[in-house]
Amino acid sequence: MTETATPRWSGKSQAMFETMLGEVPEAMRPVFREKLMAIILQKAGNGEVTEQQVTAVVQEIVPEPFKSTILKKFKEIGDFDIKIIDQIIQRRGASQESLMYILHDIQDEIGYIPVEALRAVSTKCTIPLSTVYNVVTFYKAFKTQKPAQHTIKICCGTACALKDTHGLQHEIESKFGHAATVRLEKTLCFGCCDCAPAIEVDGTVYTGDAARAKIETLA
Amino acid sequence: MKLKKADDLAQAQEKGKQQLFPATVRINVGTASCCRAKGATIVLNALKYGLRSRGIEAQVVETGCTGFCFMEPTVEIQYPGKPKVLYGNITEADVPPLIDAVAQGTVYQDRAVLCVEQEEHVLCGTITYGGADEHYRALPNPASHDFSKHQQKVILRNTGSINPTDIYEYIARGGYQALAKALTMEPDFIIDEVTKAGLRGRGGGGFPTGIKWKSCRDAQVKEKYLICNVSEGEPGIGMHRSFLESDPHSVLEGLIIGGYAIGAQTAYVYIRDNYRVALQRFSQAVNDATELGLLGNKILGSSLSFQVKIKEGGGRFVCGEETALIACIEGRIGEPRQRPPFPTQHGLFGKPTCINNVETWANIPVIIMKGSSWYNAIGSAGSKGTKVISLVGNINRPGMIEVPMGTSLYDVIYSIGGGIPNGKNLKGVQTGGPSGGVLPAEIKNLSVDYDVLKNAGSMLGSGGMVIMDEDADMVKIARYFTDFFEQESCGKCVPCREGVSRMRKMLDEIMAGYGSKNYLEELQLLAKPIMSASACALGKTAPIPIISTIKYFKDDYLKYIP
Repeated sequence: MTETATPRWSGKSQAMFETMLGEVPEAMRPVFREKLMAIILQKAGNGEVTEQQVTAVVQEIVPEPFKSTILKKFKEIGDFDIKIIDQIIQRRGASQESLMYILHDIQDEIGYIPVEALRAVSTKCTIPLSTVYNVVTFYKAFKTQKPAQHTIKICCGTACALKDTHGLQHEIESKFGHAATVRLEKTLCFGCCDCAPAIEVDGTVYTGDAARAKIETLA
Repeated sequence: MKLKKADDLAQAQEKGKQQLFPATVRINVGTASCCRAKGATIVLNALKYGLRSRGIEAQVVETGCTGFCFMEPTVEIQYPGKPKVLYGNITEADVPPLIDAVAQGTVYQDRAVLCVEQEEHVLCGTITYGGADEHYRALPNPASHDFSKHQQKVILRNTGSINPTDIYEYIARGGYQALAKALTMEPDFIIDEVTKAGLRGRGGGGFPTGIKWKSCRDAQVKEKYLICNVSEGEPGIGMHRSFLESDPHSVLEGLIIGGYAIGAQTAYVYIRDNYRVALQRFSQAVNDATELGLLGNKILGSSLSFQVKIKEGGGRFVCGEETALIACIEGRIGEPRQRPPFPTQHGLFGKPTCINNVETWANIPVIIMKGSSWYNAIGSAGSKGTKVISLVGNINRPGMIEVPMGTSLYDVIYSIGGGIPNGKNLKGVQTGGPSGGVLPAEIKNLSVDYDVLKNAGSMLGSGGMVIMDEDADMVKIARYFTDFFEQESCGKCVPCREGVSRMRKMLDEIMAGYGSKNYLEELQLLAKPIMSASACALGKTAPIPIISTIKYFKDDYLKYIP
């Protein structure tokens, strides 16, 4: 990839630019990258590339139906800095072997794995987007949805099932099933079998009465 | 400090001993995940704050799990030259009287459980803490306490006693001596020793470790890999997490010796993503060992170069299967592949790879130090050594225990576990995680042994034991495990993907009251192709919970059938 100059991106503009390129067939991407970059740089003059400028470029030069697809995708772009992903890939190395590390790091930094992060990883590591998506959806550790304010993980391990997690689980489900601020997850055993039943609220494990007391505070 | 030759270890040992036996009082607070779940961090902070505000000089250390999980949070207090006392069930309210006791140099009797005057350590012999005076009289010692007297601590020799993030404390208790000894031996001799010791894979299969090592060593490829499997995805098991959080260096030492014996340069340690504390403590262990020169180039002045990489998992049960685990490390989805070729020939990145469970690796330093004949003398005819067991479920004293192979299940449940709470009767024992079966209480002659449990229709697995009392409904339990397998099946091969889901639906129908007696026969019939045609162990063992519960607890099923 030859880039004529490196622009200074502001806000989500870089993520938007990468999204726009993602719509171009892969073989033609380098050529398009160069051309589109030139146009955007011209628009920006010497200043920073803004989100409005990228949107304007799409509206002016991209034909339908690509235009509406891209504009729709712009709306899906989450609120994070795409530079984080560049840094992570640089730190971990751009290879398939590092893919799991990269995805874990992205999740640690952003809290979930947004769609455009997948695109960025795919382009930077030259792994097909389908493969990246396959990995992200195969492993339960990765979330593609923005997390709620609180996450309650309910242990579905043997000991917890035996010692009536289901009572606790039912209680939690009826309380928070439709609450927007709480996200419920059923997970495998997190290894606190001796003090079953266990739940994890925002990263801390609670058992027994402490668990009930904790969910009271969330209600 | 950098250890350039084996003799330098003595210096590190001195430093570690000063920390283990300081001139002031030493307070160990167990902060493994199991302890944290019960509020150990609150106790830790209260203790630190209380001691500081009262101006008492003490060394407060975060340790791992003592195994006494039924009375966590636990605190150990050791005055210079006095016995070590274990306190259990410590809450925030117990902290002020505990500090009072520390200020006076006495024992807080209300919560004191054990008094350790001396301890038999498998590697460094007798460790003496000090003689008991009148304060300690009434307390039992480990040799007389019901929970600990039937156990033999070989793998768990350091858990709860040392600071897992301090390499010197590990070295002080005989750590890395086995590595120094191994480096003076021929690699083939080490493999012979492991074979003669009769060590079998602790992950579940029970494959002889020495044969696996030899096959990997004999592969004519220069680049080889080792993998330490800490996937532990089974529901109901937590001992490998606790162990890694309590004594990470013993695993690391085993890996380095394995690297020397097999001729591998790199080890990958695969840790489940939920195990944050274990991950953090093991990373610290790797960093410390690298700093001391126990990892890297020219380890202890030898020609051995070895590095360890940590890989965080993605939370799928199937990744405990070795070929799926390799796929996961390579950054692909964890789908098992057909074997042969076995990983010892064609493994990680296409290179020969030796995969062993975390507990298997931890056995290696002991075998090297004590010799194969010592190790071979422990255990039963077909299974040698000791086994770490996670004892959970409806039992009075759940915890992480270690017993010699061949110990009867009766002893494990009643002598160590203290029997079933609320005066209820034992109904069944589930061994080996979901892949194992549920065995009925009537079978008295069962023991912790690969072959005995296999013949009974279950398996030893990685050592989980879930105790079920008379209220347990075996159909519900079978449905629970089948549902688990349905969710965890990777979906690659048809018998497992379709068969297991079909079985779950049949169990649902039985539980809803639509079943007939034919269903039981059909379930058993359906189990056969699933067990014989699935590619990996997940599919092959998925029907075991159903088969074993139908075999031993048919009455539970008949209750649902109109």
